[in-house]
Parts: sequence; C-alpha cells; structure tokens
Amino acid sequence: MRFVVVFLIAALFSQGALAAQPEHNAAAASSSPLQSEITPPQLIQFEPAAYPPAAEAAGIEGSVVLRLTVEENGSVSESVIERAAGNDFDEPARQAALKFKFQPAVRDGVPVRAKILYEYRFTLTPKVPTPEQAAPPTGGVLRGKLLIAGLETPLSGAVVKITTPKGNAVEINTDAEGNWALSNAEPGNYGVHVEAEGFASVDSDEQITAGEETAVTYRASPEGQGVEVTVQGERPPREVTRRTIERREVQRVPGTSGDALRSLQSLPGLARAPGLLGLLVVRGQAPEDTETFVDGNNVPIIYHFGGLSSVIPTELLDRIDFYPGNFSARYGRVMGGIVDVGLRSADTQCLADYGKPSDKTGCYHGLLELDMIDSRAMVQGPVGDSKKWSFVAAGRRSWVDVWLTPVLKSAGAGVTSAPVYYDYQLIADYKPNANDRLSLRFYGSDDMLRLIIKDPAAEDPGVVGGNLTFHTGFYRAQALFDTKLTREVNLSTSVAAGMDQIEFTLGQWAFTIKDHPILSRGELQFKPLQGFKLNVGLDYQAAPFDLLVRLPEPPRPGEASPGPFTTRPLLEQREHGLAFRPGWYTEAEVRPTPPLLLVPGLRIDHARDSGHTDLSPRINARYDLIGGNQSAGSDKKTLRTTLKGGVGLYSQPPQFQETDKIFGTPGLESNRAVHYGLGIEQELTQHIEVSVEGYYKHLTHLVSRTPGDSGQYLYGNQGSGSVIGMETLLKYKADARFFGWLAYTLSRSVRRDADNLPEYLFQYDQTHILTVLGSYRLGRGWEAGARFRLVSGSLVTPIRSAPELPALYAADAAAYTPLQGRPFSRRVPLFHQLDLRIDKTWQFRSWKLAAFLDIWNAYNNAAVEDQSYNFNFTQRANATGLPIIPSLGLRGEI
Amino acid sequence: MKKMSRFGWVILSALLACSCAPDFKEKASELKGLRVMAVKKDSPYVAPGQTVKLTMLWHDGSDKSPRRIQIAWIAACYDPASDLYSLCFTDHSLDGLPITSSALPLIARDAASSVSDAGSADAALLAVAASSGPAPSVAGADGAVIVDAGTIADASATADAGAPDAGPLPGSPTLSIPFTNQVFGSGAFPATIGYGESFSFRMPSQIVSVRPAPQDSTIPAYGIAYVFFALCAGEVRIEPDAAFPLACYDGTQRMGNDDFVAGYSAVYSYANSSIMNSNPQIQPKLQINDKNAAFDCIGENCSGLIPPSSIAAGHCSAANTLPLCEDKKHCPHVKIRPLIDQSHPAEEDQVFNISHSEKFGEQMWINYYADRGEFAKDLRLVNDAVAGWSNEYEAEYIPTAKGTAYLWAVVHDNRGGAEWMRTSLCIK
Repeated sequence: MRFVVVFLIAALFSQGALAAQPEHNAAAASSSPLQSEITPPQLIQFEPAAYPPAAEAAGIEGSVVLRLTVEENGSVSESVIERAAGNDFDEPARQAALKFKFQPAVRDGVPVRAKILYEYRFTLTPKVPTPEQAAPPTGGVLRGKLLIAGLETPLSGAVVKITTPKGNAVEINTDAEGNWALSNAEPGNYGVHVEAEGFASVDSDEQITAGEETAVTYRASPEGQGVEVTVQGERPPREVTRRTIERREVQRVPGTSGDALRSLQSLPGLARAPGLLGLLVVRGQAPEDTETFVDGNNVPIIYHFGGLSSVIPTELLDRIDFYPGNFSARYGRVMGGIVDVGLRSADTQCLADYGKPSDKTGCYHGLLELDMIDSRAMVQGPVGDSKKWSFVAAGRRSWVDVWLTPVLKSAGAGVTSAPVYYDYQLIADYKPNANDRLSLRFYGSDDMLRLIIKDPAAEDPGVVGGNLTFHTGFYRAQALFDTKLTREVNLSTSVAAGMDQIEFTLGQWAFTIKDHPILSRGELQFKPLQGFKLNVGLDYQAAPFDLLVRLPEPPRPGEASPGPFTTRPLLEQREHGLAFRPGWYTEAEVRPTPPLLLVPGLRIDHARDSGHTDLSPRINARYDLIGGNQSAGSDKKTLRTTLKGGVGLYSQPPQFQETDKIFGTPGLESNRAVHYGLGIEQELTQHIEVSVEGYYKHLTHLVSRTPGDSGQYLYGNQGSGSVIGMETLLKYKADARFFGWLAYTLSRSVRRDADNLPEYLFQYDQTHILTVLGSYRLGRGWEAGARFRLVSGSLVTPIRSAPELPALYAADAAAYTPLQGRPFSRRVPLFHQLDLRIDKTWQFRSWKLAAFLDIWNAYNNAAVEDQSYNFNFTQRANATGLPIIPSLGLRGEI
Repeated sequence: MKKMSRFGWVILSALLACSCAPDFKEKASELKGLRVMAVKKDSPYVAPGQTVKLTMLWHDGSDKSPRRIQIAWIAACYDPASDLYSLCFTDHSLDGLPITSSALPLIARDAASSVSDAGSADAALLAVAASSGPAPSVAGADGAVIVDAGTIADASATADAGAPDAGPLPGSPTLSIPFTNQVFGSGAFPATIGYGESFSFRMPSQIVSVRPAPQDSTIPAYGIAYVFFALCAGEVRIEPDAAFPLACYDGTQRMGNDDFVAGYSAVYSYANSSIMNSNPQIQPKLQINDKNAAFDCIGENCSGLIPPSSIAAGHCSAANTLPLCEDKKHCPHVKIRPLIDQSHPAEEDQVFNISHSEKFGEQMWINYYADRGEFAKDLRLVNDAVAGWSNEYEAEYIPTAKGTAYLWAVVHDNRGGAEWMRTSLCIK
C-alpha cells in the first residue's frame, strides 16, 4: 500500500544581501487516516537559493510553496511549485529544495516516503550602511499585516500584488503571521491588491514616503461575506463619530429588504422616521438639517416614494459614511448630520466553478433581483480587453403599479393609481496606474404618481381632491479624479452636473422646481512634515433654477393650526435665477504623538440667496489610550481603547420659503449650532466593541416665526434650542457566522421660538431608541436574522378644549377643525416591532440563486404612529402603522 | 437648491404619511345630533362697506328633537394676524403667542335696555336681540323646532346697516367679550351680534386699507372678517377661560357635541370690484338612479325646521321610494345627485387671472347628508380647478332604516360659495 502523508512545514529563512540562510525549521502536526504513530520529515540540510537580483533591487520579498517528495533516505526526489511567488523566486526555490536533506518520515519506527508542503521564503535583511554610505534615504517601507476579518487572526499565504508608481507589478506572499513588506520602495502612491483563496480580495492605495515606514493592516472577509464597506482600513476618521456598516450586514438587516440606506436607521443617532416617510432624523434635528451625498456631491433625495427603497442600490455601494455630528470641515451648510455614500468600481474578478475564486481577472458579472416592490438588474466587468477600464450598469423599476392598481380597482378604492419609480446607474472606471483614478458616472432616479381624486378628503375637501401629481426626479453626470501630484501632495476632485426636479400639484396648488446643479469639490492633501497633514478644499454648488410655488401661507411646525386651507388665498412665487453657494475649507491632521490625532478645521460658506457668509471653526481629536497607534509596529493584538471628542460651529442657511420675499422674510441669517461631542471606543474582545458617546448641541439664530410690529407673523433669527443625548453601540463584528449589535440612544431635543417664549419639545424628539439585531449563518446556505426596535412614541398635538367642544365647524370647508393644545406636546405609546429575515442561497456551477423572506412587524404589533379623530373630533383612536408584511425576494447572480 | 426641494418634500411627506386610520362608526354624513351643514353668504366675496347676509343650513337629528334651539352669531374679528382664525379668541399665551383682548364696541340699538334687563354682561350679550325682536316663532303644529327669537330678530341684529363702522353708536354700551379684535392700525371695528338662521353685518370700509399689503404684491389686496356662530339646544353663554369662549348650557349642565355646534365662516373682501364670486347653482332637478325624482327645496327655502307638509305633499313619488335593505354589505347602492348647472359649472378664479394671467376654475365638491340610512360615498369632487368637470359626483346611498329619510346635498366651492338642496325619501 502506498502511504502518503502530507505535512506542512513552515520554515522561516532570513537572507543576507546575497544569500538565503535558514533561520529555523518547524514541522507542523501530522495527520493520518490510520491510527499510526508518524514522525514527519525533519530538514537537516538547507540549500540556499540565489536571491533574484531584480527582486532584491526592488526590495521585494516573497515566498514559494513547494510540494516535496522526501524519500526514505531523506533526499528530495521531486519538487513541485504549489504556489508561485513570481518575481523570479519560483525556480531558484524549486532547484534549491531538490538539494535539501531530511531526516525521513518515520511510521511505526520505519522510514517511509512522504510528501510535504514546504514554504521557501525570501526575505531581505537591510544592509548596515557604512558611514560613507550613509545618505538621506531615498526609499520607504510599506509594511503590512493581513488579518481575517472578524476573527482578527493572521492570514498567511495570501498574495499581495503591488503596483508601483511607475506601473510595475510585484507580488509578495504573506508569512505565517500575515505580515508582508516592501522595502526600499520608491516614494509615491502604490496600489495594493490582496488575494487569498477563499477570501474576498482587498484593494487599497498606499503612500510611501522616503525614510518612513508606512504600516497598514488589512482585513479580508471569507468569500461571500463581502469586504468591509469602509476600505480605508485603520485610518482614523477626521470626525469624532463615523458609523460604517459592512456590506454583508446591510444586505441582511431584517426589515430593510436588503436596502443599505434603510439599514442606516438601525444605527444610534438616527431616530425612527414615522410611517414610511424614510426621513433622516439625526440627533434631534429636522430632516432638512441632514444632507445626503454621493461621493461628495449632494443629491436631492435618497429614498424612493414612501421610503421603501433607496435611489442607489446596495450592490453599487462601496461605503456608507454616516456622521451624526461633529463632522469634518469637508461638509457644511447643515447643522444636523451627513450621509455620504461611495459608489464602487466594477468587480472584474473571475470565479471558477461553484463560485470559487480564481486568479484570473477580466470577467463579467450579472445580477437580477425581484421582490414585491421592484425588480433590478446589474451587469459589470471590464471594458473589452482593457485591464484599465471597467464598467457597471444597473437599473431598477418598481412594479407595484402592475399588481396594486387592479387590486385597488376591485376593492372600489377611491384612489386606483399606484406610484411608479425607477433608477439607473452607469459607472466607468479608468485606473491607468496606482496613482491615478478616473471614475465617470451617470445615475438618476424618477418617482411619479398622477391621479384624480374623485372622493376628496373630508378634512379639507376643497384642497385634498381633484388632480394630484407627485413627481420627483434627478440625474447626475459625475466625474471623480484622484491623482498624486508629488510625493507629498494628493489631489481629489469631483465634478457633477445634472438636473433636479420636483413637481407637486394638487388642484390649484403647485410646487414645481427644476434646476440644473453644477457641483464641484476639490481637496488638496499636503503632508509637509511627519505627523502633519494639511487638507485644503473647495465645495461649490451652483444651480440655475426655475421655480413655481403656488400655495397658501404654510404654517411652520409648532404654529397654531390655520384650519382648513380651502378658502385661504394662495400666494405665488415664480422665479428664475441662479442659486450659488460656494464653500472653502482647510483642515489639518496633526499627530504630535502617535496615539493622538488632532483635526482642527475652518470652513467658510457663502449663500447667495440669503446674502450671508458663515465662518465655522471646528476641532476634533482622537487619542488611543491602548492599542491602535499606541502600539503601532507591534504584532501583538491589543484591545483598543480610544478617547474622542470635538467641538465645532455649524451653520445652515435658512430654507427657501423662510427667506423668500413672498413666502418669508428676506434678510435672514443662517441657523447656527455648536456641536460638543465626547466619547470612548473600547474593544472588549476581538469580536466585540463598545462605544459610548455623549453630545450636546447648542442651537442659536434659529429661524422662527413670531408676530412682528405690524401684527403679521414674520420670520426671524430669534429661535434657540438644544439637543443633549448619549449613544451606545455594542457591536459584534461580522465573522464567518454571526454579526449583530445593540444600539441605544437617549436624547432630548427642545426649541424656543424667542427668548420671552416658553421652551417646548421639538417635533422629532425621541427619548429612547433601542435597536437589537443579529443574523446567523445556519449552514447549507441558510441564514436567519431578527431585529427588534423599541422607541419612544412620536409627539402629536393634543386637543386642548373641553370634551363638549373639541372642534369648531369651518363652514366654508364643511369640515371641523380642532381646538388644539400646545403643538407636539403629547407622546403616543411606545413603538416596538420585530422584523425577521430568512435567506437561502443555492450555489450552482456557474451562477448563484438566493431567496429571502423579510417579515416586517412579525408579531403584527399595531404600533401607534399618530392619533386619529372622527369627523367632529369627539372620538379619538390611535392611527397605527403597517401590519405584518412579508416581503419575498429572489436574486440570481452570475 | 436642495433646500427648496426639501420644502416641497416636507409638504408631500405630510400628505403621504402612511398610517392606518381607524374606521369610526359615525360618519359626518349621518345626522344623529344637532348639526350645521353649511353657511351660505348671499355674496361670498363682499366689497368693503357692503352688507352681507349669512344663512345657516342646520338640522337636529337628536332623539330629543323637537326642542328649543338657539343660534347666535358674532362678527367681531377682522384681519387677524396671518389670517389665523384662532387668534380671534385663543389664549395663545399657552402657545407662546401674545394675548390681546379688547373691549369691543357693541352695535345694537337696544343694547342698553338689554343689559339692564339681563343684569349681566354675559346674559346681555345674548339677550340683545331677543329683547327687541318679535316673539319666538313656533314652526308647525307639532312644534317641531323652536328657534330662538334671534331667528326673526335679524332686523335688529343687522341694525348697523346704516350705522358707521368705526365706533359704537351713541348711547350703545361697550361690552367686554372674549373675542379679540385683531385689527391692524389704530381703530377697532365694531362687533355685530345676531340671532337666528340668518345674520347680516356690514363689512368695514377700511377692511382692506388698514391691512398691510400682501407680500406678494401682484395679488390683489384683501381683507377678511371671521364670523363665529353657535348652535345650541340650550342657552349660549360666554366662557372666557375656555379654549373657545362660547358654551352651551342646559341649566347648570354644559351640553356636548350632540347639542352644541360652534364654528366660523370667513368672509373675504377685495378692494378690486372685479373680483366677485357667486354661489354654485343647483338646477331644480334631482336624479335617483339616473331617474328624475322629486326634491323638497333649494337654498334658503330649505332653512328652518322641516315642515310636515313636505312629506304629506306627496313627495314620496315612485322615484323617491326605496326598498329597505338592512344587510348593508349586500345592498345595492342608490345613486342620488342634484343636477348642478353644467353650463355654468365653475367660475373663474379672477385673483390669479389678475395677478399672474393664469386661468383656474374653482375647486368644487359636494357633501351629502341624511338623517336616516347610510352612505357608501358621501363626498365627491364636482370640478377640479385644473382638470375641470367631473360627472361622477353622485352619492351612493344605502337605505338601511325604514321611514322617511331627509337627504341634503350641499355644493361648495373653494372661494366660500355654497348652495344646497333637500329631498325626502320614503324607505319601505
């Protein structure tokens, strides 16, 4: 019987300038299907291989995995390259191994023939320069470590492909500790691509500076889990708080149908938006206080009709950055939060049979997904034979109208039209070398609902009846260009032009706006000194626009009810003009000591429409008490403890209707907020991290409306307010089986319309927001998850008067109007909801099929969203949210 | 531009917020208690200095009917800030808004004697017309509805027809009433109080001129008067501390929503005499399931109590007779509608024609009410300001109760115009 034992011998070798020398040998544990005692071969004579001159000159290290046949006499009869290292390492290693001498393997005391895996490593030992050789260093070192995401254990044997500034490619293998290094490297920007069998590839750009060592850590996720959405790795954020979600997580959060942007609402800092509005209510601020961006250029909407899905599909997202406060000077014009999503480049990686990764690139991929709401498709791959150009094309259309319209008609509903929406994305990326990247995009969205309401609403029949048009749409043609100008200077630019359109009509009412925004951003990053980096940027928004507003004077939130609008005179504004809001900023990243990062910044914004200029100084800081940069260079994994904090001024120009000469009061200044933030991040285990952050926002110059001297209500900057809160996130980082987190937010948001007026709870105040979610891979393609939310009830306006007369009859509208109490002074009962999700994936030879069942409101809780009254407000009942809704989806990928 | 977009988005979101509202058993179209259905002005837009007459369409669907009903009107609030009706009376210190209460000059010729008779200002307020008007009218031999003296005290209540509109008449008392006279400028306009189904008052001559010009300078300047009313199956009293300062009492017991309705009507006045509005026109035709049927009355002829003669007069023709259907889930819906003058379906809204050269029609809709039976559809669109006429404005009625049912159809436009028709149905 031929007996073959496979051993893995991990041997480490160090090599001088010209010769490889054995450092030590190690034999791994053996295994056998038989219950025999086996002693693996032991290397007793090492033969050094010649170090390839080109690789040595380039400072490249590498390792070659060989399959050796060790005969009974200890000689090597066969040497086969199992995993090549390239760069001329392979053949010298193979030849050298044939000259090895082993103490043969022994089974039951008898020498036997054996096959083993042997890793031959080529490493460089830096020469000690003689005094006369000592000169200013011209090269730097890029040293990296590769870990398995979630497990935080080293990943050895992975191939690190590096593209030098000149476009040359070198390959290095990670060692047993996951380390790799590129020494004496020419300063410049290097592209790094990491591949490991069974793991998703990792891409990154790194900068090497002469005389410095750049240390990076990458984390590779097991294949199928996706990579971390944030690809910046360990680089600390400029902001105090940046929430990121991994792609696997966003695709599996129950209750979101796999929509990434909807999963944002499971993070601390974001309140639950009532109903299906899909509003972003960040840290006690109004939805309009938060801005949404795609790679730095703002977009007018982020969700489709009803908030059921976002306008950018999850598959196209490279990252989602959510800054709930104390954000960098890169962003301005709002005093709430920032959501900036990044679009990804095409995936050109090839797959072998049954979804296994392949070394090849240049392949095409496709996706088709269908659920109850919409269907979408995506294709991506290289452009022709080019390895520098790639593309992604995707589109989605709702099909609710196909099945809902007949249902409504058969039910005799007054409204028998359903909304229709679609979105589309086309991305072309050009990456000529590691220093430059050009990305061209064209994307957009359109939502349309048009109908005639023949059964008007009883609350205001003269208004809410007749023709209704609701149309939103936008598109962007966007170009992003990143380049390295010199060794110390990087330039990132983005320019976008497009169209925004909102059309809303209801009888005579109209709100239509069409503008053609031209958005540009540019940031120059300059690193003149070690530990000091300066970022200077501009952020311009210009938009020729056509506007028509024909509405009655709208009450602001919190004002007394004007009663039915039926007979109220309409105001009209028609305007054709140019909105122009330029912004400039500068920000430094100062690291006086390794664990401390200070980010002072200053931003200047001008709003042509209001005519005011705002100056916004900010400073953020992070300090690694333990771990992180505190222990940089150490291979030992420590549990990181980071303190962080910041303070900054944020300005937000008044809204259009507030400063408009027809609807508002011209001459208003910007709203202002001072953000204070303080927090701590603590890794509890390799898997579990907790962060606690407290924040306080002092709001001044808020635009509010109070009676002027003439008796008319006028807008002014006399409002004030504050938001105080605490956010806690206890997170189990995604590993091969599980991910989940517990998020809790405690907050209070108040406003005051003028100094002499009482303080009141802000409309969007939510005291407690608790979210617990988790998802577990059961095996055989099954995954199950659950999300539970417990949130303080929304605020509603109660009826103040005695029960004998809760409302007055507005005779002209034939409707009752309630005698209301203090606006938003009553809280409806606690909201709680459980969402469940089950996924099943079938892997076929050349494609993959996945099905999911997302069950919203699994135990059918009648969550109170508002309070509803009968026609004359003598009876009150709770208006409840959506009942249990199962959402079934199918998804095929090739 | 994003901020502009947000403006529209917020409006849309408010309209489109998804929640499941409960289905209340009692509908607005079912007249189970004391109810006001409409207030019609003889001229929906009134020129400054002109007198306007308001007429109320009401019905007492209570089991306690017939009973004594008191109707009171007060026109005392002109041009409140931002046209907010609630500023006419609300104690806005609770809402962070200023309180301004005024001593209003009361115009009523016999006010002095009323005060002395009643002995208190509150009582005097409501006794003003009663003391000077004719005796209460009792309509019908069965005494179905007794309308307080104010009904026919209209002449006394409108005694200001020839009176100056700035300041009280010589000898008139000044009463403190809890309606705020939010008049711009230095002078206050007089309050006018009246009783009964109809009420007239004179629009102050300066109603437009005392007010700041509209911020939208292209829109014609206007003024607004809020007329408040109370319909009470007892005695109307003043309650200054209440959210609304009028209440309805039966002795010491405050009466609730089945016995008391309070409300308001806004009367607009444009200085530009070309801006007019007339009430919708209902033709003297009624269709039940597309067949011509008899109707009882149109407009002011329907005011007051329903005379028993209307039934006895044989209005229950074949077309007006419907079979009882108690299982409403399986009942055929009876389609009923008045014929609205389609040759003159809706007027043009001159305001936008003048200001922006835009032609819009009026938004018109129709409300249906009945004191017996139920509706499947009771509120229908008649004319859309942009899309135009809609022929599908019929009610869908379900005769679920035996007996004589009265059905009202009230046509409204969005500029304060109204007209109505009543018919009777025999459900067997």
